[in-house]
Amino acid sequence: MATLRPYRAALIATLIAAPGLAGADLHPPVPLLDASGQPVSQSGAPVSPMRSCDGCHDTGYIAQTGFHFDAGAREAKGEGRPWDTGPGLLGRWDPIAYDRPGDLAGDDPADLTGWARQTPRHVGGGPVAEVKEPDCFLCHVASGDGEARAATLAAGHLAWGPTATLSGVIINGRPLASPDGQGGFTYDPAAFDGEGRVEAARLGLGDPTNQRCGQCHGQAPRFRAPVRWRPDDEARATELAGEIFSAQRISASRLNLAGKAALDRPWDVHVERMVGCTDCHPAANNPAAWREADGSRPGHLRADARAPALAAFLKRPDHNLQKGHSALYTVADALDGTQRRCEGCHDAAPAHAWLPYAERHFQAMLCESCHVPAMMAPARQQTDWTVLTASGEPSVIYRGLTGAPDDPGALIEPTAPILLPRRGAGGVEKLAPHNLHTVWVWVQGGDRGPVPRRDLEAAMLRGEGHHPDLVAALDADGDGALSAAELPLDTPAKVEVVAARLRAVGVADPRIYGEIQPVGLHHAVAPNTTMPRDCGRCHGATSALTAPMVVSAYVPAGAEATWAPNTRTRQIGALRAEPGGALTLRPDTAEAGVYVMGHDRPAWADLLGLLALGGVLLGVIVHGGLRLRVARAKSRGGHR
Amino acid sequence: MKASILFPLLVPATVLAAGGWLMMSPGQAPPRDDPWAHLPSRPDHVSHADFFDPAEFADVKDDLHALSHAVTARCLECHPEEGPEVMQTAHWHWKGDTVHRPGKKEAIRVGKANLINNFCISVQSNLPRCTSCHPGYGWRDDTFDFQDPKNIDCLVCHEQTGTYVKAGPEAGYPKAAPAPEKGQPENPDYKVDYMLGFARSVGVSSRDNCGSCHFSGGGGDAVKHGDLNGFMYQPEEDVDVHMGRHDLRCTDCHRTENHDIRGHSMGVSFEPSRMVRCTDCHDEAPHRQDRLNGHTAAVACTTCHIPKVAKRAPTKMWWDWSKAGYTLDQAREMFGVEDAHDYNPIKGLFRYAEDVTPEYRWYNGFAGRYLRGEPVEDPEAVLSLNPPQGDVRDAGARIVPFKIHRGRQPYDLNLKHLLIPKTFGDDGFWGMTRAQKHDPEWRWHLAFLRGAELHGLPYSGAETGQPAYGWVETEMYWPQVHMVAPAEEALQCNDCHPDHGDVGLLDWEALGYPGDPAAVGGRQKNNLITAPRPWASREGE
Repeated sequence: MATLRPYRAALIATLIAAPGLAGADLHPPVPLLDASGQPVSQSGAPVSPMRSCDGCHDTGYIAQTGFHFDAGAREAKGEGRPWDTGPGLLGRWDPIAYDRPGDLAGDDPADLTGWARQTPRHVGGGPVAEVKEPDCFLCHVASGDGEARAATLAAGHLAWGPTATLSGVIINGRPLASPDGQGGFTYDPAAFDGEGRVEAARLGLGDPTNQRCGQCHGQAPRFRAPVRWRPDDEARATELAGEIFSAQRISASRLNLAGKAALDRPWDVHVERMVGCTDCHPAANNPAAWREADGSRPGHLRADARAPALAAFLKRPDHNLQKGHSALYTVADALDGTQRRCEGCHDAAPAHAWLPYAERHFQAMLCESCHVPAMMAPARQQTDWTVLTASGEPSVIYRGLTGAPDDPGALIEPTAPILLPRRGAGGVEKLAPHNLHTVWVWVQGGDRGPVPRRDLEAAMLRGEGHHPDLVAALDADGDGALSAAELPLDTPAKVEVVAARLRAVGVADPRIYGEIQPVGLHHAVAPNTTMPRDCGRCHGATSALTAPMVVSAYVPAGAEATWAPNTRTRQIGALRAEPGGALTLRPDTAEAGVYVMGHDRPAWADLLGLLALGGVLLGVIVHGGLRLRVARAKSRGGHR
Repeated sequence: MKASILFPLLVPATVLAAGGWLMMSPGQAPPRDDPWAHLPSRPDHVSHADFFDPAEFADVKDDLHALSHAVTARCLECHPEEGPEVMQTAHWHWKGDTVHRPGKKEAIRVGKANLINNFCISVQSNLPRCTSCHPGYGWRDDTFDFQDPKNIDCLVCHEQTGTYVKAGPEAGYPKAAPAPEKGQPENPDYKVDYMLGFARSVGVSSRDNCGSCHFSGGGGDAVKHGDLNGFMYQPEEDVDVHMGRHDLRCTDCHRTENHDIRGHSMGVSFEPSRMVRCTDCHDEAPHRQDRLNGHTAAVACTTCHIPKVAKRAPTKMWWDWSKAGYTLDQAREMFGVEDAHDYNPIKGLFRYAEDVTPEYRWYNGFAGRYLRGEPVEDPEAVLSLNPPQGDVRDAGARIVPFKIHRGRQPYDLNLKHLLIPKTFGDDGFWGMTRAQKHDPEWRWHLAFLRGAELHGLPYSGAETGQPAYGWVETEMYWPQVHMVAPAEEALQCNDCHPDHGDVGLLDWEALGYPGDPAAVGGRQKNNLITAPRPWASREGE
C-alpha cells in the first residue's frame, strides 16, 4: 500500500469529518493532466482521469477493483445462455442494446474497440482499458455531459471521451472544454490556474448524484425539472421497471397520467426525503456505510467493527458498490444483497401495528410488495426483434401506455406489478413485485446466439422500407408499408418468409427464441401514507397476489418463451395462451409455498369448516330445544 | 312457539355476526389533527328584509350622508350594545391597544392612524381619501366624533348584496345611488330604496365584506399584502385551501367577539397578543411523519404551506416615490419604463410580481417599528420600518415567510425624519401633478409644507422656504399567512435542503446556522438554543 503523505491524510480526514460540506468544498484544486502527465492547459491533449486523479486517489486500484470497469470480463459465465460469454455488460447478451461485442467488431472479432465506441454506458477501463480509460468525471462531476461523451466515443475519438464529459462544466459562463470541430476539444485557459489546475468546486466534483447514476440506470431529473417520460434505452430502471427517481410530486409532472391530479405523492419517497443512490449503494469500503457482506462475515458476528480507516478509504475507495441483483446482468454476485435494504433503516414493526400477523407478512414478502404498489411510468412489456420496424428498430410494447411511445399525449395508466418469489442473498425466498419483460429474437443454429443486427437489416429492410418479400407476406391492408399491427409473425407462413430472408443473407438455421425477464421493482417507493390498509386486496377472491400479467401481447408462431437464466426470481404458475393471442402468467401462490387466507380455498378445509359449523349449530339447536322442552314439561307439572 | 325456535338460533347468529364485523373492520387510528372540532360555530342568519320602512327615512331621502347615518341609527335601535362595542375596536380607531414596543420603555398606542408605511406613506393629512376604508361615515379631519355611534358604517361589514361601495374621496360615505336610466319609471325614492336595499340584506360578515377593504390595501387589488387579493373572494383551492376547498370565511379564523375581530398585522402592530395562529385549529404536531413534526420547533407552518403568494394577480414589490411627478412619456425616457403599469405620474415607479416566492426571516411575533418623527440614522442605508424580531438563538422564534415591500420615500434632509406629504386633494402632490402645476421638485416641497400644517410633523423647508427633502430606501415586512396551499402542494424537503449543486429557498448561513441543518443538525444540536419555546412567546411569559 502506498504511503499517504501526512498533509494529504490530514486533508482527507478533514474532508470526511467536516459535516455538511460537499466534498468539493475541501477538495484541493484538480490538476487536469494528459496521459503523459502534462497539464492539458499547456499540451492541449485529452484529459486523462487516471493521471489527473492519481495524485490523491489510487486510480490503478480503483480501476482494477470496480465491477463498473470490469463489466464482468474477468468473471465466469455462470448460468447464462449458451451464447453468453460472461455475466456482465460485456459478456451477457443484452436484448436492448442487442448486438454483442463480436457483432460490433471490425475485421478482428476479438477487437473490442467497436464495443467500446458503441457502449457509452461502460465507464471505461477493464477489458478496454487500452483504448478507453475509466472516466471518473462521468460519475463524479455533477454537470458532466454524458451525451457529448457518447457522441465523441461513437465517433471513434475514445481518448477524448473524458474531456467531452468535462465540456458540460461551465466556469465563468464558458465551457471548460469546447469541441474543436475535428473530434477533439480545446480548453478555456481562464478556467485553469497557473499550474493547470481547476478548483474542485468549479468542476462540481463530489459523490455521484442521482442524476449521475441516472445516466445509465434510470431517469433522475433534477428536483424542479419537470418530469417527462420518454423511451430511453440507457435508463434501464425506467425502461424496464417504470421507475423514475424524482422527488417531484406525480401530479406536478408532465406525463399524461390517468388520475394524475390525485397523485400528490412523489415519484420516489426516498428521493423526496433526500436519500440518494449512493446512500444505499455506497462504495464497499466506505467507513460511513461499512457493512461486510453476509457471505463473508463469520456467522457469530452481527457486524465487524473494524471499519476501514477514512484516509485509506479515500486513497483507495473500493468501487465495488454495494448492490442488489439484476435480471439483465449478473456481475459480482458475491456482492448481491450488500446494499442497504429497507430493514437497514426502517423498523417495520411499529409502523405495522395495525397489520394482523405482521411478522408472517414480513416472512413471506419483501417490503416492496406493498410499498411499490404500481409502475407509475410505462415499463417495457416486450421487445420483438423478429421483424424490425422500417427504421431498423425492434417493436416495443410498453405496459400501461396507450398510444405511440414518442407521443407526449399518449395515455399512461399505472400498472400493478406481478408478485413472484425472489431469492435473497441469504437464500430466503420472499414475494417481490416484478415487471415481466419478454424478448423475441432470431437466433442462429448451433447456439451461436442472436442474429447480428446488420444481418437482420440486410434480410428485412430495403431502402426506406421493408424488403418486398416481407411486404408481400405481412402487408394485410395492402398499403405497401408495414404498420406496427402488421409486424407480428403470428402464422407459420409469416415466420417462414422471414426465416427464408435470413437464410438468404447467410444466417444458418434461424429460429425464434423467446425469453421472459423478471425485473424486480425496488425503487420508486410510495409514501406509507398512500398505502391502502385493505386486507381484501390480497386476502379476497381476486387477490393481488395471483393477479395475472400479460407476458406478451402475441406469440410468434411456433415459438416458446422461456424463463431467463440465472435470475433470482422463480416462475410460479403456468403460462397461458389467451384467446386473443396474448400470453399471460397467473401466479400460483401454492408453488411459492404461501397460503393466502381468504383467497386460497382448499376444498377439504371448506368441507371441514362447514361440517364443524353445522355440528355446532345442530348441537346448539338440539341442546336449546331440549332445554325448552324440559322447562315446559316442568312448568306443566307445576300447574298440576 | 316461534320464539322458542328462533332463540337457539339467535346465539350462534350473533356470534357469527360479531366475528364478521370484527374481521371486516380495518384498524383505524384516531385522527391526529381535527381542525373542524375547533372552528367557531356560525350564528344563524336572521332575515332583515322586513325591517326597514322607507317612510321612516322620508326626511333624509335626498341627502345620502344623512341617509347613511339614519340607517345606522335604525340598526342601533335593535342593536344598542353593538355601537359601543364597535367604538372600542382597532377597526374603529385605526389604533390598537396601548402596548410596549420591543426594546422601549414607554407604552404607546399605534395603528394605521398614526404610523408611516412605504406604500401611500400615511393617512395623516390625506384622511378623506384613506378613510374610504374606515367603517364609519365622515372621518375627514380631526373633528370626527369617535363617540357618536351614528357615525358607524354597519353596512360595509354586514350588507350581503356585494354591491355596496364606498366613494373614493368621501371620508367613508357610500357611492351615490345611480340615477334611474332613461325610459325607466320615475322613482322619487330611488336613493332611499338604494340604501335600504343594502340594509335589508345584512347578515354575518362574509369574504366580500372583509375583502372590500383588505384585498385592496395599498390602493388597489393585490397591491399591499401579497397574500390577499380579489381572487380570494371565491378562490380555487390551490389559491387558498381553507376558503377554496373548505369554504371557510375570514371570521372563522379571525374570531370575533363583541365586534372585536382578532387579528394582527405587522404593518400596524408590533406584538403578537392578537395574533391568529394555525394552532387555533390544528394540532401542534399535525403531521403523520415525525420528521415533519420536528420542523415545527424552528419553522412556522406557513413556511412550508405557503410556498407562493400573489397567486393569479401581481402584488407590488417596489414603490419609488422619488420618480413621481413626470408624464408617462417622460418616465419612459428617464427611467426606462416599458409597461404603463409600472409607472404612475402621481405615485412614481413600481415593480410588480406574481407567484412570488416569499423571503424567509426569523420572527418571534414581535417587531420593531419606526415611529413618526424618529430619526433616519443613515439615509444611505435601507431603513426597515417594521423589522421582525428574533434570530437563530431566540427559542421562541420561527422561520417565517415574508413579502418584503421595498421602496424609496421622502425624509427631511435637516431634521432627519421621514416626511408625510399631503398627496390627496388639489393642494396635494397628486392634484398638483394632475394639474401640472410647478415642477416635481417644488410640488413635493409644497406637499410637505401643506402636510406639516395638517399633521404637525415639522418640515425644515418651512423655515428656509426651499426644498429640504431627500429620498431614503425603506422596507416593510408582511408575514404571509393567507393563500395557504393544499398540503399536497406544500414545500418538499429538497426545496430547502437541496441536492449538491442546487440552490434551496433558505440561505441557512444567513439565517445563522453553520450550514444546512439537514447535514449539520438543528439549533439545539448546535447549541444555539437549549430548548424551543412556543411560537411568539418570550422568556418568562
